[in-house]
Amino acid sequence: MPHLELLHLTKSFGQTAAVRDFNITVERGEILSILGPSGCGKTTTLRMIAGLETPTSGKIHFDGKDITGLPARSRNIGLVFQNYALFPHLDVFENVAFGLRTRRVKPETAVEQRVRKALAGVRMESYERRAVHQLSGGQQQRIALARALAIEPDLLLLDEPLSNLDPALREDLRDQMRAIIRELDMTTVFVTHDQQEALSLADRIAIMESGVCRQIGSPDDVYSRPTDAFVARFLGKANVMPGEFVGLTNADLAVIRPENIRLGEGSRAGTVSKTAFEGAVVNYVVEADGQQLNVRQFHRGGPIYRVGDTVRYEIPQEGIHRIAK
Amino acid sequence: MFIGILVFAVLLIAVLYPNVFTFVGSFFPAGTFSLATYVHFFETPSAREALFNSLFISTATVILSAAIGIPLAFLLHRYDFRGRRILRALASAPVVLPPLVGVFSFVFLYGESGIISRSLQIALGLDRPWPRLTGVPGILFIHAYSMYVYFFMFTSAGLDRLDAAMEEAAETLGASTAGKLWRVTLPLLAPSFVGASLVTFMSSMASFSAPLIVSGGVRVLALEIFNSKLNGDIPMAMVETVILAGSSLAVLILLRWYEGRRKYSLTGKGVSVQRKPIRSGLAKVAAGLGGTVAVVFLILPHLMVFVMSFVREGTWTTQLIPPAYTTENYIKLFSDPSFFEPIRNSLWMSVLATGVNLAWGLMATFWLRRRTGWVRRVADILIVLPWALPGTVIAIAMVQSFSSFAGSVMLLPFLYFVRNIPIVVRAIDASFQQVDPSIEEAAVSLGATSAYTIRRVVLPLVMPGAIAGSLLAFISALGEFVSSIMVYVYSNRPISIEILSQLRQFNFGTASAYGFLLIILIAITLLVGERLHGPVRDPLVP
Repeated sequence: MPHLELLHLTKSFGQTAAVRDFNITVERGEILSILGPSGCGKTTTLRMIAGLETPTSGKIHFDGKDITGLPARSRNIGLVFQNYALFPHLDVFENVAFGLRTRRVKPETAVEQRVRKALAGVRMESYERRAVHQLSGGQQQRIALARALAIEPDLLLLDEPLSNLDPALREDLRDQMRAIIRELDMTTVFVTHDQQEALSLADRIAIMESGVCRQIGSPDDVYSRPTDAFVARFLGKANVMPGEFVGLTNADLAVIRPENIRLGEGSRAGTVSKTAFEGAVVNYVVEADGQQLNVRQFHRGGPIYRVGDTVRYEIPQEGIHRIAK
Repeated sequence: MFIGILVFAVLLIAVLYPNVFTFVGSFFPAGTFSLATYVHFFETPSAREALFNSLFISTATVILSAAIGIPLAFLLHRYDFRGRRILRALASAPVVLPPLVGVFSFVFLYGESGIISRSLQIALGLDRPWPRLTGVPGILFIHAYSMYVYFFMFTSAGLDRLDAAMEEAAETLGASTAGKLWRVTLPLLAPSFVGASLVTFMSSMASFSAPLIVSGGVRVLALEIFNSKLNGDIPMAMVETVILAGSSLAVLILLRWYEGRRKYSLTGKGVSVQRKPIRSGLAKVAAGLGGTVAVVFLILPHLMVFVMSFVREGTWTTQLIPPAYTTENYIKLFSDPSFFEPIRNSLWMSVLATGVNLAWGLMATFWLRRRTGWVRRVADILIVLPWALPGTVIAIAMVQSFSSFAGSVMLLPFLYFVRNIPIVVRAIDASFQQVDPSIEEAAVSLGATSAYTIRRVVLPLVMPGAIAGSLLAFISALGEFVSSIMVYVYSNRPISIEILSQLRQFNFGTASAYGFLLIILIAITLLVGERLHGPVRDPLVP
């Protein structure tokens, strides 16, 4: 039996549909990421799972039971808010203990034990009596995670867990979070607009756009085998070309990953119209046959093409992924 | 440097000197040091009673105002229902009612022979009219009406800043509706409640009009000071002044200390809580009914003043409703020079005081904003002192310390100026805080001199807020009563004093015409301010 099931989930605000007919099943212990640009309905979906929004139609099943009408406080779901929503009037310990106190966990030693365990899980043991405003962004994020985990939730939800952190810290915390979540073996749904985050943390990714789920699959699936042009363009800026550009019929579209194009050799020729050097890689835009191609090359000390250079290139057959138009 | 001297000269002469003079003077009743007057105060049962009554009434006012203001703020913030906007707009109606005008209007409505009291007597078949608006309950009734606004405003501002995610987080952690309220929302609003309690308590300690008119023999400190002075017992008046000021300041310091301990801020990030429509039929009826009663109750005093201002003098005796109406009260106000004089007096004194407030406030803020250390701290305390002290206290201090100026028409506008220093400086200061320092730096980097920067960049940005604050000062000077009654001379008697004297001659129509004129002037001033600046709010209240 799937652990969590969304069935034809739809949410409208007035005339606008934020989420339309979303269907997905999540297995026990699985980490699902909902990925999409801002305003695509991913946070609304998460809030419906948490019970903070009521679906306009559709069902949410948990362990086979319909929980669509169940209030948030009865769901036993841990939610980590985008801005963490730590209670500023309570210290770290009382923040983490909050969910235990609402559950009337007794005696106090049991509360202490569970809070300490949750804090140990996020490696923040020595911060119990700190005020939350004394913590850094990364520390607040981990306390928010500990607070959600202390209630021993059946399901963990994360809303843009790393978006409020600066980029250097983000990578560090992404690795820590992966370790923590994997260790727990807990069913997790997290929402993000950052594809690196989704690709590196999730078992499966659901890609949303304008309230509609475009594709669900493993990170490799959605990256290498997108089923539509939006997904292809959204992940890694793939080139989506008319079929005949690479010798297919025009009934199809050809998806070509920028890193799969070889520059400097081959049967095709184009003109470089943009060069951006990033250190390990160089990104080019090459104009050929009236099309613009994004090209991404590892920089191994060879020449860097300049704008206006004519360049030969090759698109290997295995680098072309065909999708229906 | 010159500006600095001027700023401090005013603070020392106008704020510090009178209060120190009164404080020290209270220990020298006959020219030599003696605690005799203090001993006498605490040995006199009626004096002790006045102190106790003041403290009791103020505490009860805080509780009553909280009980009305907090739920109303929640209702208007969290729920949507028919008439919500009207109720929201009228919730601050008591603000445009000058203290004395509000009190006599309440007497016409809820007093012994008030319209509402007698209507209730007839409707419910009572032996006597009810309510009779007298004594402590009468004072509390008036206080609750005029001071719940503080709790309403503080709570509304707190709710605006409250991040909806706080309550949602509590909900996902299993908190029930009551649990969310008790363990998250109310604790987060605690600083707002403390702020509101502070303002309410101090206003209530200072309250003079309500006890003056409806006390029915109940003694309160603010009134005792006035009576002592009237009886020529100046040493006692000074001691009572020191005790009233001392208890107000003690509560101020206590609450500020408590406020400082809970040091966290509502960040104001995130989304505000969505307003819920009231759906269930019964709740709809209750909200509609309650809302209507509230709206009527809020606006009734204004309406009463309006109606009374058209009542022909001497015709309303035993009838339930005044029988004869006329416009001659207003005609008299503007055609008879002796009736117009108070209006002219109030206007010129308020304009003068406010103008000086604005000019001095700008100077002080400009000069102080770059200062740190003890100069700044001393100035800050002196600037806020007139706000922390009851009007009676400031008036007595002024009268005693500037006794050589007694009888001068300039003493009253000077008093208005002193009382409004805090409002105007705070407004200008708040306006300054909005100006990004880098804007000034940008002007300087473009080659502007500092005088040019101030004139062309800073002043234009600060001015709207400064003017809005000055308008508030103007309003409070216009309706000022508490200090006026101690300092006025016949030739500069302001509107509020004339209202009192008309009431004492039973010229209710004329008094009401003056009162309604004040309401209109205040409303117009607020509208002008809103045009200039957006909603005009007391900078000392959120």
